Amino acid sequence: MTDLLATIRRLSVAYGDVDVVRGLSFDIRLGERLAIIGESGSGKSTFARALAGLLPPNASLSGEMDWPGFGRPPLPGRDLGFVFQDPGSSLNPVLTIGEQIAEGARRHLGYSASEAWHRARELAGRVRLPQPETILNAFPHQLSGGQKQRVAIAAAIASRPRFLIADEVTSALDMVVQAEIVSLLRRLVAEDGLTLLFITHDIALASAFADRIVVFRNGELVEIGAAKAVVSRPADAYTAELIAGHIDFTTPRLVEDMP
Amino acid sequence: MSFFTRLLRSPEGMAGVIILAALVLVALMAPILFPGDPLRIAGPALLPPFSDPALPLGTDRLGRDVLAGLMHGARTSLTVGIAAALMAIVLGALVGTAAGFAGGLVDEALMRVVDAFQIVPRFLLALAIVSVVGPSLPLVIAAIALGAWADPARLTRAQVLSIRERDYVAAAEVIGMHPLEIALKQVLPNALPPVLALTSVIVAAAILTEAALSFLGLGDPNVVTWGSMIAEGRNVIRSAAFLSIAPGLALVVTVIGVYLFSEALSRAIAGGRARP
Amino acid sequence: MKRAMLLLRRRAISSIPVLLIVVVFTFLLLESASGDAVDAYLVSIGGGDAQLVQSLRQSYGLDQGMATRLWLYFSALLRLDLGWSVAFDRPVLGLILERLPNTLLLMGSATALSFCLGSLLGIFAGARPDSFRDRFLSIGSLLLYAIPGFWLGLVLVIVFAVNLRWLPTSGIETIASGKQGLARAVDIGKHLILPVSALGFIYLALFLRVMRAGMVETWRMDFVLFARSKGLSRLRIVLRHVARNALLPLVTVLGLQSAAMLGGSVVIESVFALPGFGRLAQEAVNGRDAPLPVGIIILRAVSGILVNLGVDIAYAFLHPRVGASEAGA
Repeated sequence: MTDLLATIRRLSVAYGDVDVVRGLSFDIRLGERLAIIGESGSGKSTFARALAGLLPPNASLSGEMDWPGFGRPPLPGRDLGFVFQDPGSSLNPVLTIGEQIAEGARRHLGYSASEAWHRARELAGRVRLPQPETILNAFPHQLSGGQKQRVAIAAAIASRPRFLIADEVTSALDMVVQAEIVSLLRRLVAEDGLTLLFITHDIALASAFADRIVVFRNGELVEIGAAKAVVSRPADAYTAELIAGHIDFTTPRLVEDMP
Repeated sequence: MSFFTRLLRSPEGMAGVIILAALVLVALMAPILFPGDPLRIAGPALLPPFSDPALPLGTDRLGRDVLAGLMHGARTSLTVGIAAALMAIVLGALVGTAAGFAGGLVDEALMRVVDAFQIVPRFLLALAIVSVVGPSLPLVIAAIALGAWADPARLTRAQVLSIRERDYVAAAEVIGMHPLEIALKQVLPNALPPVLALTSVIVAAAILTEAALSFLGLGDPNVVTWGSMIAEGRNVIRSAAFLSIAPGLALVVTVIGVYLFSEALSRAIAGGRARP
Repeated sequence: MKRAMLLLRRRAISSIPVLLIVVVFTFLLLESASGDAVDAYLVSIGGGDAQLVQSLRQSYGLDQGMATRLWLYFSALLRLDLGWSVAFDRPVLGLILERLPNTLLLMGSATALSFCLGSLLGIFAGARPDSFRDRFLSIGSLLLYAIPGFWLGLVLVIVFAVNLRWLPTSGIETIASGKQGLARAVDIGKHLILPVSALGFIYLALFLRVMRAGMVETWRMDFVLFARSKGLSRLRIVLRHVARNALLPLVTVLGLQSAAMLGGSVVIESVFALPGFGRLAQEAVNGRDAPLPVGIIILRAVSGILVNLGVDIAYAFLHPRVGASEAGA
């Protein structure tokens, strides 16, 4: 009850005449891992950006967001870190990755250049980048997709924010790398005591990783509850559909073997 | 939204259209409003502007009517600007398309020629051509065009190369369309819009180049041009600065009008072809 | 470094045919003139008899066929001999080198002025697209762009030299002033303020627009959003993320503009009576003196190629990815 990071009431976001998020109301608990699942276009990313204050100027926002966890609306970087889906485009091609990791620390923690570099070095090790000593001088195009996403995560948490938002951070990566990134996030969140909001369309990931799951549909909240409960006993028909549509090893084959 | 509505939608577009329309009007009406040779002596020398209603903008050092000169000068500037730009774009588009389609050695050779024309400063080139062969209006137009065709050629070639790879061209090849037909019907219409966007720059540059050439005394001596008027006015710059300033203002307004109009034109064309 | 060397080599090799084309074309152009250098010379001395004409032609090698002369010219070029100017009665190379420093001074200062001021204003405008200052600067740059350089020069002369009498009207330095060292430098500087401003302000508009356009384009990139999500200061985002990326196309434009600026310098040198390289070109062409303008154009082409190479190298340094793919291709 007392340990809430944020309370959201009747939040709506529109671009011109188009409503993308409609009347969302729920709480984010301090220290939890909250997953938002839903189909493309359900407003998940828009909601995340609204939380972070990163909406484009032509978006109109209404409703309330209270932040008992911070006592004020969160400042990007200082209170909140954001990791985006496409690591390739998240990084500035002309700056070294060391600089891009360090700049958050310099800005919000008041570090000097060398202190920030040390922090970057330390973070490069924490996110398990190869050759942390030398990789800071590399440029983004020299890294693989998975490595770039590690850099993005390191950069997002460099300034010690307490809230991390991960928007489909594994969707652009292949399966093996996805698993690595997820376990990285799991570890970092646990070590630093972060509150994590992660958006995904992968239900298996959500059910394995999250404490609670929120289901979005057409910009509205359809269901919210403990992860295991939502997945095994969905209260809403739509949620049930989503789960049923998920394919794994237990799904019956489409084409039978030749007899 | 119709083409004309799109054209006039923005204030810049509106301004461009108005300026250009006014200029064309002036150019067309000049021989009617000011018949006879504008280079002839019309009155006493160095008459100040606004002093004699028959000669509203005064006269120059030789007693020539300034207003007549300005009006007739508009004809020269617009003619040269548009003709040179047209020549440059046509030549550039042809060479660029040929290079883009032919590929291989032909492409390399043509591109070296384009390089050569790009590396020589276009004003120097125009200067050299006009001084060597002689200052007549058609030659000035050709000289300016020769300095300007390299960019459209480069651009057209780049466009052709990228469009060639596209699916609808492959589809046309599969159904057996003749290469020439593909070039003209499929590739060129899609390659041209960015090249046409260059038009404003080329026309504006052509007008300014022609003015500079006439200023240096290399324009057609039988035609009145704003550049030669400025050069004339330079002789009496301390006493009658107006004679140099007025034609220059005319040039500025013309170039701005051309630029705004072309921007609005290319936006209107693009708007009509945009996918929703 | 290796990237840059490979790039350099490729570009240098492809520049040779370009140079050849330039030489041949300019030579042919001058051939098409009615009358050659000797004719022009005769006009200037008021005519001469047939024997004089013949002997002049022979001594300058102008009586031989065109192909022969072109061949001779080429072989001389390879020895770095740009030929002999009939009108000036001096070797062409020496003539050019004598006038070159003045033009370089003019152009160098004008380029520096327009690039620095233009980029700064472009960053200023592009920092807040569609703001009042952005619109103001866009309109201002359009106005500047439309102004003919020589006219701006004249207007500046009218305002500052004739009316206000703050600055001299023409020339590169006060004639026969006998000034030396620093005093002379200051004198030259004062004479150059107006021409450099005239030349520089026009091209400033171009750099402003390119920088601003680049910034508007870069603002839309995802890494800018990421930078914002890290809560970086606006100044840092504008300079280190947006402007730094928008700088790249500007460098290319810088290379292209230096070519155009030489053309512009011809007129400015004429307006301000500066004894420069550009003005030499004009005098040369008027004198029908074949080797001189050809030499000028060739020199200009060579320097143009060098500038382009410089731009490529600068680009390779500024953008870590460039050259890597080319070296591997």
